[in-house]
Amino acid sequence: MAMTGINHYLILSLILFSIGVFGVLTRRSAIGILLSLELMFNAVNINLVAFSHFLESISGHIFAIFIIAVAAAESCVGLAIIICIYRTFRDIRADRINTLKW
Amino acid sequence: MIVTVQAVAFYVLSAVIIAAAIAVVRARNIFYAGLSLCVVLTGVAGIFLTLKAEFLAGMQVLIYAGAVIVLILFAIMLTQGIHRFENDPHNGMQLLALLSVAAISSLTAFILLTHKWPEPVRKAVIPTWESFNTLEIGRALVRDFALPFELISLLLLAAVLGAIMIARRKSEKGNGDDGN
Amino acid sequence: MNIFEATNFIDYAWMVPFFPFFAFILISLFTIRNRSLSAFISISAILLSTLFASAILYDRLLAAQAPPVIREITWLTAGQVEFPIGILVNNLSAAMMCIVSFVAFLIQVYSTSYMENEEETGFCRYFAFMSLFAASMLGLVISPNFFQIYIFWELVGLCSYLLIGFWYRRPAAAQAAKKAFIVTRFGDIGFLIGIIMLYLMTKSFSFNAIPALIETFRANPGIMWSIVPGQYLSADTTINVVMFLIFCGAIGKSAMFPLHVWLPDAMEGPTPVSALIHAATMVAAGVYMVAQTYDIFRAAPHTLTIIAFIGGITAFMAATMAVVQNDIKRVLAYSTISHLGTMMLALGIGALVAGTFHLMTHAFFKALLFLCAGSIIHALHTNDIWEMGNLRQSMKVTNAAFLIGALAMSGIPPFSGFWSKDEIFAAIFASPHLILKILACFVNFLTAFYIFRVYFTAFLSKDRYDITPHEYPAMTIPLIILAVFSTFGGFVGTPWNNCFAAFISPEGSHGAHAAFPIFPVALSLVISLFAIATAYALYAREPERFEALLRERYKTVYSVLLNKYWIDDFWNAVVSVVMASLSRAASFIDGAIIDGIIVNGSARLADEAGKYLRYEESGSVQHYAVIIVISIVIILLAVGIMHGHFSMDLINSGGALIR
Repeated sequence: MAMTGINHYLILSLILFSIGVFGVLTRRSAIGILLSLELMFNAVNINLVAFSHFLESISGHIFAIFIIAVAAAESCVGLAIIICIYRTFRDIRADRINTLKW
Repeated sequence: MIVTVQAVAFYVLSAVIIAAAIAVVRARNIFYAGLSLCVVLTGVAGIFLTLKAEFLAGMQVLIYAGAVIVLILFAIMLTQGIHRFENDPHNGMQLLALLSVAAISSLTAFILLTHKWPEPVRKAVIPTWESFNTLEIGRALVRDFALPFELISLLLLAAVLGAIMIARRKSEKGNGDDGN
Repeated sequence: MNIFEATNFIDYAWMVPFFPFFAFILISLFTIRNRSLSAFISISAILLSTLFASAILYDRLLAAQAPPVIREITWLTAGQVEFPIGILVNNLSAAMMCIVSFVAFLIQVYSTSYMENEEETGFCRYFAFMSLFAASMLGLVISPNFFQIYIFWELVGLCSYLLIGFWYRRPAAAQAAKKAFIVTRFGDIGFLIGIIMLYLMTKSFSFNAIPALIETFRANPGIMWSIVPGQYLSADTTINVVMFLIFCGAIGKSAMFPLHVWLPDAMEGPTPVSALIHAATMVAAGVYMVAQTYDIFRAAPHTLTIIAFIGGITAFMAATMAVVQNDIKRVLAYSTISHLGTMMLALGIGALVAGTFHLMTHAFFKALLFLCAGSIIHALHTNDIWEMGNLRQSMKVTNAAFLIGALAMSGIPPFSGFWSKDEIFAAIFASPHLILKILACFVNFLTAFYIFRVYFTAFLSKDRYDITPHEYPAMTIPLIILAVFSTFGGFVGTPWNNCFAAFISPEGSHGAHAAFPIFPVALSLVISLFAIATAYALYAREPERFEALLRERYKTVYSVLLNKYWIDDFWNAVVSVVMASLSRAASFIDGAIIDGIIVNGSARLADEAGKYLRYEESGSVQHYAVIIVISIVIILLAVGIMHGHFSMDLINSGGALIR
């Protein structure tokens, strides 16, 4: 019980990721979806750093750095889009923004 | 049985992370969700520390828990007019989402646990204070990963410019904008 | 370097068909509106070919015993099969090339006057097609193997279609062109099957290689065919069947019974076309092919007998039908069929030289007769002999030429037809078949009779028209030249000094006529003279009266003959029955299956599917995300099961890895 091997980190990452997916699928507000998306990114980061540690390679760290950078950029752009959507629809609930349909 | 600090730290942090994550996805008040996300991000930084990734932990706190959360909280506060207390922050797909997420996570768990990971896979995390991976990260960034490093700066530039262009208010008199 | 140095310049024999082909390209692409230029290009091309062919013939005459010059290159390869093209210059092909190109030249000169009333694109189109035809026919003559000869066979068939249907706005002409093409196609199917079977047996297409290969096949057949499953044909029977199939091409192209029905209808084309294609050259292609591949046919004696009988029947039937025709071109058409039958008869009984000799002389006098007919038609604007008369006074050159042609055809010495026909006659009498002898006598009588019926009705007796007929120099000069050849052309094949025989078939010229065959020659001469006398008695002074009398007395015979033995109707019925049922089946498949199920059905399927599948686009991003997640689950499961990741022992051992 005391020794934490790679499997522990992987399971943690998996649980965090699943919660993130659940949030993306379920949250009504667009900002809420963005928050759940951040959860998913972090889960991936945990995964990468765990592997980097247990396989003794630095690439995982590098990859995680890039993911952090990209996630930051992405949430920035995403918020800009949400503001733009608000201006058009007066609403940011994802289940109401559905005019591109049959 | 040796009870290492790593193990204890890991379990405590995991509990905190998971609890906060559930709060992120289920909180009614979006501000509470944002704050819970801050907790998650800090917890993840702690996990990084248990994995001896001190540089990354620092980065996580600086960028994620520092800048991104602030950005999100600003966005929430600036758009507070949008968010009233919703009766139901979730759409109708909860059951379906739960089932599919359960399916995919159990499948993935099965695959992860039954796979033999290649060596070296150390069974325990034994801390040492001799190796600093900041040096290694620095070396890798300018040697093997120089090109992605440069491209990331371009990406950030593009993201910033894009965000400005997208969120810009169109001027009334029609000068200086060319269709948004 | 002397350009007549033997091997070198004959290697360029492929240029003989090339000049008219090049003329065709030039005329059809560039000079289609310029009458004189088109005619000039066409005639000069064929003149060049004639000169070149004469040079080749001269060379062969100098070295008649030299082996044939064969040059072949492989044009296509399909797996193991190689398709060669090349040239074959032996004595027969040199002589034929010369005659074909020369007659074509004369007829093209004649056409400049005959077709002068055509509007300009018609005139130029005519010369373009004439050049193409000359190129195709010369290419056929020079072919060294069955593959190439089939290609040019089809090309001459195409040119025949184009030229018969030259006045395409006339429905009769269009029908006749179609009929010619389709009927010869029937024969060509047999030809193609025969070629393929021959290739399968001998692995070769070449004329000179196959005879030896046939003998090895006969000794050791590598492939056997059966009609009844289980029972295979012997090698001898196979060879006979295959050669008969190859002969089917000649049945179609040379208008043998029962595929002769297209030739009388082909008279809808302009008269020079009839002269060139349907008298002198194209219809002779079948006879030429049999003659050129005669060594192969010698290996199939039963087929040769069948050929002889088909030739005999054709000759007799056509001669009987020629007696009752009123259209001068139809008389000549049936006459052509009859003479072709005679040639095939000669080839069938083994008289290769006689048949080939008659081929050559027939080319001249039949072309002459057709061109005379053309001259009359151009002057009087009618084909009906009952609207002509007393042309002896007004069209003197035509009269003399027609008379010479008629005498040549009837086999009166010293004209060319006498020597060739009587050589055949002698060969028939030397053969054992009594029926053929009787048929030959009848044919001889009828030939002289029908042609002199036409002569006396059209050139003697009183005139039945109002306009004054004129002759034109562009027409009369070729007539004179052809008449000269018809008169003196036979002297190369006199029995006592048969240089033609020595030229064509050196080894075969000895056994046949060691002694001068007095009896058959005398018999045929007597029959011909008797026929001319009968025709004179009936038709010279009061032709209408005797014609009406004959039709009255022999009503049934006349009706049979006028209905062409009902063979046309037979073919019509066969074709319509077969075609109608096939068409119905094809129409059903097209309408119900292809249109209904495949085309319309798939359209409706797409339509209906779209109608129901479009609701999947709900517009909500989270719906799409759920679908993505579920799809990932399914794919993971599928791939995992396929690769055996979910087997039981793995689950058991997996449990051991956790902790």
